Amino acid sequence: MMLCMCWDDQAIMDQNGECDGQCGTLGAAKMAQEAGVKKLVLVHVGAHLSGHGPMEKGIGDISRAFDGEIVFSEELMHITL
Amino acid sequence: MAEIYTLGAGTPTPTPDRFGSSHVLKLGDELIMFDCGPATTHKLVKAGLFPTKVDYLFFTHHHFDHDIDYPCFLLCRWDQSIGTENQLQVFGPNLTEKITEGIIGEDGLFSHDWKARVNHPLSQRVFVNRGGTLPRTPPSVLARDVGPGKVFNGGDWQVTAAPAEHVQPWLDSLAYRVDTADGSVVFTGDTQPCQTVTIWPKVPT
Repeated sequence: MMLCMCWDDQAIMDQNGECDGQCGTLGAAKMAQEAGVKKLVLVHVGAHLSGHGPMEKGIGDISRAFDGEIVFSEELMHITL
Repeated sequence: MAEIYTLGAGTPTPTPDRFGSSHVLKLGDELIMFDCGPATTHKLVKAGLFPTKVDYLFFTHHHFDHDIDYPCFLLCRWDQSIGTENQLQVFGPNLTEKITEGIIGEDGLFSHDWKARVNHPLSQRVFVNRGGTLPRTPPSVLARDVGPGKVFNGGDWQVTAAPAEHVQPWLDSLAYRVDTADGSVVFTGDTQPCQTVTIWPKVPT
């Protein structure tokens, strides 16, 4: 399992220059896919991405680049390894 | 059974639902915390856990959204203790030792708090009523600055660190992998995609 930061939609980050030094949707997917984990938990999620619409798009984008299970975290969520 | 509690799942921007980073790995009775962002201590209790039960804390880096509740956690954990708890062990990149000493050391920014609680009769009474035995001892934390490589062996769980790529050279950042009997879990902390974290773990589950 990997808990990976996911700041925002990758396309937005690539456009606004916030992609250096942090992972967005596709960055998190790349990290999890390269590591070969079965489950990716998206954490450190920004205000835009955590809203409905961007969230669902982000999960869709990640699912096309990562083969495992995706968990979009919420605070006080409880996950079993 | 290995369980994860996501206490803080946000960023430096507060929203009604998210603010900062903190996660707890629960392995049996052991609670291992990763980062201590805004309101972590309160969220910990909301999750049904308690500060005195957390014996290990690992910092990925020292941005405020990952460590600003550290003073609260340290003081609360010490204040709520009755003197029979395990010593808290804290690991993190450069500044971890300095920040710890700067908070609760003899001349730390919050030393006025624990000195008052150690010495005033009212605080002594509360401590005794909670189950403590006088004299009350000052906070004692084992904090270590660490880098990539093996960081801690907890017996049936091990923690390894890898360099993450975030805001160097201003701050060092680490990712952590914890290997347990139930599998492995990686906490990337803040990083851009980097192979030091993805190749290093070889995470089986």
